[in-house]
Amino acid sequence: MFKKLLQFELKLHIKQTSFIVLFILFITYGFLAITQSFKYLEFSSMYNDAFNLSFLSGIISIASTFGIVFFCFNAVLRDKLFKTEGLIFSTGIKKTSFYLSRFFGVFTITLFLNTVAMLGVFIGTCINDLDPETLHHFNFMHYFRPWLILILPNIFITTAILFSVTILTRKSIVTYITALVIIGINWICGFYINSPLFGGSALASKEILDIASLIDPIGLAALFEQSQFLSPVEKNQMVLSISDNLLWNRITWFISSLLLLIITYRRFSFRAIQKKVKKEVVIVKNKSNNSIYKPTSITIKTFKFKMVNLKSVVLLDTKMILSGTPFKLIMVLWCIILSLLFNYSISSKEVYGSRYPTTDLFIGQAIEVLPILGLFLIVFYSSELIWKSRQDRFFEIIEATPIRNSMFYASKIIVITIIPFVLILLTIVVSLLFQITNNYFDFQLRHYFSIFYYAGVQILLYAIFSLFIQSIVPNKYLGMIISAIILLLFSTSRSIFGLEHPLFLFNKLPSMARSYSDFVGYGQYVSKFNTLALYWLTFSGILILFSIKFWKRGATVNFKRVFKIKLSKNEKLQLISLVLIFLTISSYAYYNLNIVNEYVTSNERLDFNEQYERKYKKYDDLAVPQLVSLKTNIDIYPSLEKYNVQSNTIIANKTKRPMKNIFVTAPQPLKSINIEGGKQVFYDVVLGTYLFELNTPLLPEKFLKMSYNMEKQVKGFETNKTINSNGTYIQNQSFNPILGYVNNYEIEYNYERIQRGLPIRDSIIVDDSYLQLDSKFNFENVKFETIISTSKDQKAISSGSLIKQWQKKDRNYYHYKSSDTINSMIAYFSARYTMKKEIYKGIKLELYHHPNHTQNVEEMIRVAKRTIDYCSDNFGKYPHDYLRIVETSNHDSSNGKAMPGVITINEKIFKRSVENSDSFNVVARVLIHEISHQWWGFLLTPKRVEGYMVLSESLAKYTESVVLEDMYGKAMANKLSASTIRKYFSGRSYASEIEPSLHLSNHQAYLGYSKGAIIMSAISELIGEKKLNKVLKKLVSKYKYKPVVTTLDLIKELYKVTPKEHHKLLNDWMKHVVTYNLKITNAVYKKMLDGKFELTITVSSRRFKSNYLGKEIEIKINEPITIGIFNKHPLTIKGSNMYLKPHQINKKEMKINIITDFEPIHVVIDPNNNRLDKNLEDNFISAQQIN
Amino acid sequence: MNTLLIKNVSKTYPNGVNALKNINLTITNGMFGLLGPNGAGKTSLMRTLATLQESTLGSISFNDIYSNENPQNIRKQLGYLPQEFGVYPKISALQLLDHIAILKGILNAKERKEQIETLLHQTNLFAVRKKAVNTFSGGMRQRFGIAQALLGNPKLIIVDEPTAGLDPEERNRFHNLLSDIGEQVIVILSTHIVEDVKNLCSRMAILGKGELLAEGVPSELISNLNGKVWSKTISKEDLDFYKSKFNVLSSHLSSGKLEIRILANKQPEYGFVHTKADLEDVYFSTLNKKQL
Repeated sequence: MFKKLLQFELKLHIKQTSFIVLFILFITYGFLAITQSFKYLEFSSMYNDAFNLSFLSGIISIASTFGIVFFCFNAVLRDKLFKTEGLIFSTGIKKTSFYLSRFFGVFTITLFLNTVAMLGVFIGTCINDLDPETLHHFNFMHYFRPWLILILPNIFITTAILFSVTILTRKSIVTYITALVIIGINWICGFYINSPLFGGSALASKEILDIASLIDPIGLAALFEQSQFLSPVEKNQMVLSISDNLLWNRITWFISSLLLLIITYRRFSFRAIQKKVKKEVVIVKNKSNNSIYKPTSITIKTFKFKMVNLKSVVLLDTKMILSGTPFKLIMVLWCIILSLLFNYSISSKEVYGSRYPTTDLFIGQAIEVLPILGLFLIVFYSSELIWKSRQDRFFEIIEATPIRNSMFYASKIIVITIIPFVLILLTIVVSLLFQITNNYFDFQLRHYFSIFYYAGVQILLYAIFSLFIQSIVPNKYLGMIISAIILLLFSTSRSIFGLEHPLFLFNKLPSMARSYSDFVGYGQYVSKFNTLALYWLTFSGILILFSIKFWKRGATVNFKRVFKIKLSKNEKLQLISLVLIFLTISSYAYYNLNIVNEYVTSNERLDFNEQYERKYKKYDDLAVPQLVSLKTNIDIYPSLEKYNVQSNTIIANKTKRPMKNIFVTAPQPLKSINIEGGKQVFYDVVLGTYLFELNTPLLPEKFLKMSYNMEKQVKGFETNKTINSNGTYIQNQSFNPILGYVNNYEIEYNYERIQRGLPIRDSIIVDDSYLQLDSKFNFENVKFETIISTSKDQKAISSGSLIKQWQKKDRNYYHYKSSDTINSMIAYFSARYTMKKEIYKGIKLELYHHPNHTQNVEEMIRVAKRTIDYCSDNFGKYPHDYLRIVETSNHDSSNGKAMPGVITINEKIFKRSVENSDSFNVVARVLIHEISHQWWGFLLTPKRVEGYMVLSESLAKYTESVVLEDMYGKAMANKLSASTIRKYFSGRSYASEIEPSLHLSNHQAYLGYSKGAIIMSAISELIGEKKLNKVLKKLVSKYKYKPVVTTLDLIKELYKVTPKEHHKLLNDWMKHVVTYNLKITNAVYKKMLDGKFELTITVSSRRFKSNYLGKEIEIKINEPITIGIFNKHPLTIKGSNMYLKPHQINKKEMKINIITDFEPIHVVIDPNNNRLDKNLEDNFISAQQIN
Repeated sequence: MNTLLIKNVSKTYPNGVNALKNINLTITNGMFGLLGPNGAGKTSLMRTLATLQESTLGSISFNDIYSNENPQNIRKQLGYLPQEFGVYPKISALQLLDHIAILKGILNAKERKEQIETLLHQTNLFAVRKKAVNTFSGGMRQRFGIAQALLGNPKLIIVDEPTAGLDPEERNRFHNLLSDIGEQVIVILSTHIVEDVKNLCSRMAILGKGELLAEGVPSELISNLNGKVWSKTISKEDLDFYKSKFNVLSSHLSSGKLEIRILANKQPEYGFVHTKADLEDVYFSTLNKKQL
């Protein structure tokens, strides 16, 4: 019986059009995931390795949640829909058979679809044009394990939940919401753990991870947790293990869903269904009544008729569709999601500190989620609205009335618009409540109301589109699937079948989520948004016309009728005018996107690189002159979004060969360029290159004048990060022409080079001797002078001492001149700044900030002074008589940047709150870091070879840590180092190359910023902070202004002050890849007779070295590692009893006895996080007392 | 005087079913009965008249305005009661009638209220007007359907199987109501109950398998058969024999015996009695003719 029923179920599912659509969708998805190398496949080095297959399994499980929704509708609600309940339930069918066959029908069919998706993945690995080196050979277990551990249980869990909900409530909306909740939980878990899906670089701390890994119903959080520190090679072979959190996750969810199924089975009854509508039989006496029926006059031609119609339908639809509990439930859920989001975003996290609950923060977060939630709600509710009267079989009555199709349509649009309206209104209310409860009263209501436009338009377009789809398809669920797929595809992918132009991607409006700045609001994004919004709105106008025309009126709803529609004269006229408007707007948009601004596809960008290399590689060997003096005149016109530069430079031959030709590459088109005594041989307009031939060769150590000027004006829809009406930040390198052939323009990726027929680049062996070779480009210091002018209301800033300042013709002029030579990485700023000025030890401290961002100004001044003090005392005198701290707008993505004598701090840092001293002081962290670059990078300018980041970033991170500790205590510095260690391990797990040693590191942030910081602190602990600082000071004074210093020089100086027995250790840290696994396995103590305590701890310490293949091999340990003993938790204490001493660790397992004066409650190995240890949690233990 | 002209109307559904074949009818004020067995095309014709679907071929005009070109013209003068219909849950009879009245164009709130109340009284639903319609019994729901069809100022009332599910008393009331209205407007009543047509309709048509088989005044159609209908009481086992031999119009049981009616110009066999023709005979003879 059961078998027959199940067979029938499966046949029934397979016959649905929805099934066929889903089948195609799943297999295509799997195929495209590999062949189109979707974004998330960049997480591992091979597209189809074990990690990515597990990851894809998770994503497919999420997607199949919606498939399950439709199958549940079909399995459970079909009896209700087709009114066959009576028939089915009155047969002899047993409850068990009924229940199980329907459940397993859904389960089997979904499992089948998921398997098909994995099959699609497999096909993708066979047919593609990807670099074969990025493809893993076929390994059945790589498919089977995630299928078994993720897909199978996920489908069981989600089917169980959705099936139970459907059978108990028999309401499609409740099922749909439940699916959204399941996905929502997964999404929030991802958000909280800082998942790589959300662009997170390192996962959150272990406490959060543990919770999220248990909760996430899809198991993705647990997958990320398991793989977070795996190296790329390890990820390729990663075996998803059913242990720890993943095991408990699977067990908990499996048992809960099984229980749910059992409970549902008990509660569900055939009878209950039939009793749903209580028929009331009211017997009424036939009372005599005098009223006699007579016809009543009607009016249907007037405008009033339309409006009254509209109102009545809107009210009725709203009452039926939106006033129910489900809709209220969704709104409550939305408020919960918002609260979780907002709470997370303002609360303190690790080293990011807490934020002020500013309006733009909340709006940004809401705008990121709103369209996607809106999309799902719209897809559902538009189908409800369209099919409601048909499903209730009321349509014949309604549709025989003289109401016009357009009024039907208008009413549906109005009702559906209520959804985003309420969502946005709630967003504003929740945001305001958050602000009020956090004592933040700068509400910016106008900004709040802008969400109605910036998020509302997009949702409105979704609504028009799904109403259009629903009005042509003959089946409700099919309509839902089609609209959801198309809309999701268009709004989430960057390109569809190679089309990436915004005029092709429906409803792909510029995201305003992160585009707001207090300086310029949405700035240059607005006109692009407006035009594209208008463009799609007129397109939707055409959709509306057809939706009304195709409106299902009457009995025939099949799809073919769409082709038989004839337009009336009036309608043709409307269509033609809409098309004309559409074409006008699209040509306007096209003009602005493609003609005014060059529209470059990613492929064309590579074409550029290829052409550049092919044509100009021959100039690679040309000797390149150095810039030695830079004198500029720059006029900034903020309101016109324009600037002019006139630059007069001096270039010198610092090589030993005479120079005859000078090759120049201009990243921005120049108006003119002249080299003294040189003649322009060619100018390549397309690639922006010049070749000059000197009349007389430039001999070594001789100079030449070079001048150029250029003009930059923002045109069309350009979103230029350098110039805007308030908050201009032009970096010199954004426009200055580059002398010599630019090797960085060459395509790096070998497979792409082969495809384009370019020779494979030689891989250079980077070793100690390579560091000592001469390099073509260097960060030579230059003489610098500039005169900047800007509008009257703005201040202009650059490097150099301010010599003169004046006003002329309603413009402000500033003349800056550097007394000494400085690094040529300078920048020009202009904005309506408020300036806070103080003179500190002869240095003019100037803080330029947005007038409203005053909260952190005092703190910044305090931090700046302390940093200058520490660095001056320890590393050498501060090189300028000024330090300018300049706030930059949000449109620049970095937190901060250093220029000679000037540092920038992003406005987001100004909006961090440091009021709570327990939360991490991110303001200080960024500020110290950038100020210290005045020493690390400028005073001490590293040679531009591998290892340069150690001498700039690692030392800046080291300074950051010591000054933070000095100002805010050990606990904060430890928080920083713990986070730095995590960043190191997750950074290298996404690395595309085998990890080099620190001293030969290149641009890897996980080495230069993370590993370097930890190693510097470890060295400081090993030889003492004083000794280390002395070494650094020596380097500064020795190499001041000479860009020749390399990591080898640092290591050499370190050897001199390090005891002989530690040289090997130092060598391991700097010149090898060594990691640790430290752990305290046991700690017990007893009180001795003299009142002291005897503590015995067992320490497990292991050390690993990565070989040249990136494989970790265990090596011996023999080094001093600090052991800390505390009587209070080390993160909460300040100055409580503690013991901190290095112990020589030389065995894998060691017992250590320590006598303390105080009760040794907490024991930590390496308490200051100076070893690269993946698991810091087990370094800490609470000791047990024994007698 | 209203005139509904149905000219060469055919309807073929996308699945190939040919539901109406070349129907020609002219209908004026008064009750018009549409008789036919299940599947004859009555509902197809009614839906086409009610502008819920377009005819594949042919034209329909109401007072000289063609419905395919201007469906609004019929809609604004239409009262339509579909064969079966559902209602929105949780909405009361009063609210729903008000809604439909607005859609039909009764914009004056007072007039709307008056007419709705009258109709509620006439259909005996006044007491339950605030109850949700989906809780109504079958008969109550049917009466609600009648009430909504009469809203506004309908000049063409199309009622598809209106008395199904009504008890005799309700049916009577409904018939009275319709025949009152039928004097000024066209009422098209589709049914398979011959008696209803006999009692109410001044003109009628018989549909079978999508074709118009007969049309005319019921009494005239009956008179055509006068003298040609014979009846006999036979035993059940003999029915097949008679069916093969004679043109059997109908048979019904009467005290355990079977009474059959036969169409024949002269007494077909001994034992057959001359019987007065009625509309049912017309109906069956028309359908049988089709089969021949």
